Amino acid sequence: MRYRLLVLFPVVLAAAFLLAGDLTAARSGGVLTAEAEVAKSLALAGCVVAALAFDRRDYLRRAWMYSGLCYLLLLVRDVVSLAIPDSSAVLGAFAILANLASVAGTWMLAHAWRLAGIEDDDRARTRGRLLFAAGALLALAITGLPLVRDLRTLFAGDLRAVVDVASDLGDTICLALVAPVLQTALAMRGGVLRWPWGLLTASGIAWIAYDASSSFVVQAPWPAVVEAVRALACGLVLSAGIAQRMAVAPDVRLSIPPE
Amino acid sequence: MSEVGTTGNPIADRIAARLALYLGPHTGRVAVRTFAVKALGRGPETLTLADVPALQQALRPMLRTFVGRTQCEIVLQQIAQELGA
Repeated sequence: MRYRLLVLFPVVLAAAFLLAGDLTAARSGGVLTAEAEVAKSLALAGCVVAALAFDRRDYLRRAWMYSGLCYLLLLVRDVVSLAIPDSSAVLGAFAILANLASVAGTWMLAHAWRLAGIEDDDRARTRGRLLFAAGALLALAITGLPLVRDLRTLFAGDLRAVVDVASDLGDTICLALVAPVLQTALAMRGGVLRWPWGLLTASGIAWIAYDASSSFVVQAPWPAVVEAVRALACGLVLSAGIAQRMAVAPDVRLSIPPE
Repeated sequence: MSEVGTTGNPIADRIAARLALYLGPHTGRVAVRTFAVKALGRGPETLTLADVPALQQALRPMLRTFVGRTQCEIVLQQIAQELGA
């Protein structure tokens, strides 16, 4: 029941954000900005909750920490942009670092199944590669056009585009890595770990939807929809983090049900 | 002929059931098979109580990856208790 509430929460959050963004369309700029910051803060909280469920030396603690670092850097960037109006170089540096952290965290999560060595044969490796290739194709279908556009701008001499290129590449890699995370979630079906991994996969899919929807024309009601999708993605990260904590924290003792 | 979804070996099935709480029944069984072969050089259907410490040792890195060091030791301890190993 508690796990099902974790699934429900991001949906309710996204619906509430959509309603708030839509109802306040006339002055939605401030509302949407606030929604974006709340969403990132929730995702950061989820990553911290999950990371702290593990020992300092644990692999997944580092993975969750890197993912959390991405949200933290994005939040700091937003604060800096408010405090220092002309700070595009600093903001760009924060965005690049956030993308690096996101790629590191997502790669570590995606690599966990391989690292665990449960299926250590050629068939499993081939399946993993095919899944990654499929994920990469899907990711490029979504981020390819913005990536080409930003690369053209960069090669035309506008160095500010380096931030956009880094962001596009970060998005592409992270979206491609959704497939291996999905593979882990599917392998865990029937076990308590299916919840954090399943919610992480759902978050990855929501980020794909976010990237796709944010490419559309930015006219009402799209900004509200885009923010709702971001809230869904971030809410799913929070839920995944809590589910991770519920599954593996030191005080958790699972019992085998009587036959 | 063993029942579908079990190895027919009560020790292997007990360990798989413990792992299944976290990893799910399919992956629990696959893990026991993979690590029995890695650690002992033979399948889970041949497991005896004497093999349990070696299998636990082989399972440790996988469990640490997914549930962390603390929960890993709890799971291995529960396996030992249940089997009286």
